[in-house]
Amino acid sequence: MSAPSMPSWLANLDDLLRGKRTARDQIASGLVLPWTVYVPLVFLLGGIYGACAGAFSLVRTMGGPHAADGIKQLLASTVKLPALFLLTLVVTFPSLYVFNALVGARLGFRATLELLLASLVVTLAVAASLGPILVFFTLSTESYAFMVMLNVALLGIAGVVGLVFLLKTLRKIADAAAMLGEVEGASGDAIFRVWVIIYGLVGVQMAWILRPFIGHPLAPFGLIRDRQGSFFAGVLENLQRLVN
Amino acid sequence: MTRSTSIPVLVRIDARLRAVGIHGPDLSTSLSARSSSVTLSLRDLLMLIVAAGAAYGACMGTFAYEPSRSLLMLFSAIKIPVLIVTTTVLCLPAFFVLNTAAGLRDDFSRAMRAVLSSQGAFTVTLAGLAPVVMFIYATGVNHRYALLTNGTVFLMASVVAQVVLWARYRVLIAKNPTHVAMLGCWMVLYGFVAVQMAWMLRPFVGDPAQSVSFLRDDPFTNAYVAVLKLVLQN
Repeated sequence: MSAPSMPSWLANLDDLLRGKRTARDQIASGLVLPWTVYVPLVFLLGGIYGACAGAFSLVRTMGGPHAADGIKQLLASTVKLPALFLLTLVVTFPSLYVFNALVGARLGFRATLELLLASLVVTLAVAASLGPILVFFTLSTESYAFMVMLNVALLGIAGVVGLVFLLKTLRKIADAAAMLGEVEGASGDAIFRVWVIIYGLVGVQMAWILRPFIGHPLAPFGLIRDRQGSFFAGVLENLQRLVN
Repeated sequence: MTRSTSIPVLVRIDARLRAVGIHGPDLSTSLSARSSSVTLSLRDLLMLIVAAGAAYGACMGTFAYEPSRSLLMLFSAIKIPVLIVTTTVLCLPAFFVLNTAAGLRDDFSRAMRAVLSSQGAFTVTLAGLAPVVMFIYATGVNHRYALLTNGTVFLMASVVAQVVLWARYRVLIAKNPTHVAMLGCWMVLYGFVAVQMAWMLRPFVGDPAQSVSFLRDDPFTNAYVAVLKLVLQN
């Protein structure tokens, strides 16, 4: 029921979010998840969230001597956030493909990659839709530690929605195959579950080395910080800072 | 049940109140005697929220009234609708995308109507309790007690709003149980943002010891950080 005036990329996004692309009859007749549309969408939606995250630095340095740093941080975050998700995919996809091939999974190389890209689009669409809330807190919060925790929480929500989308679609693919009486070809469900954990762990570490996304108001601008520590140690440290 | 009210304004107000009640028009297809015959448009719902919220806000701002402090009435009358409407606007994109991703897009306008109706019920309850608040003010209570009174009234209105929200959602939930999760998402998001919004928009009840101002000197601080510090320092 997409309006005829809707641009095709938006109609694509809308269909994906509504689950039309991954409806049972679609799966039976072959999944069509165009990566040429999804990769730009990852950059667009991730960029929106990244800009909302980077706005903290802009707001905090505005009118000060480091105002230029704020703008740089905003631009850097806009690029870095989609890069975070795509780079994590690049690093972890080969392992998933190898596992899948070893168990003789139903989905081929391209189909698997496109399904994962679709999950990223869903994740980042939710993240981008939480952007206004992030900007509101950006305008009303001085605490850098709070902003870090809020970003972790919002991206966590988005990640869960993307994950549910991925697992649901896999389940539907398995059901469709079962209905066709296909006995060969493992569903690869278990492998995906393990892989999601790998993706998550690599993702948080990737996020850690790509820091800063928000930009500490007192630190000078740098595209990437010195490599040290880990995500989990960082979160714990932040929790302590929140109260000091 | 007879409705003998004949003054046109009262008839219209009565219809609006019923429309945001638990027997509002979205609830069922059968028109029982108690159900509302009026379906409010989204614009009408918004007008109702703004009008009733402003009415309560004006009453809220009359604490320790003197002519020199009458601006506080205007400030609070502006702030209550701003609090409700702005918070809704901020949470709307996420609510929309989450509903869509859950496959509930076709129900979205009904879900939104349910949410706005419950906010209508919230503000109407506030406005209905405004005379009670004014009475308590008139008994000469101190600022702390005035805050406590308003807090209690807000709590009562929240309970009413919850009842209306769940009543309105019942049909949707019967259709698809995923609506329960969406309602949960809405309440968490809305609550999380509303707390900070209310913190920023302080004071709602002017402290007679402080000068009249629209916002406190430090509006741009974080409510959650402030509470955490308060808890841990004691």
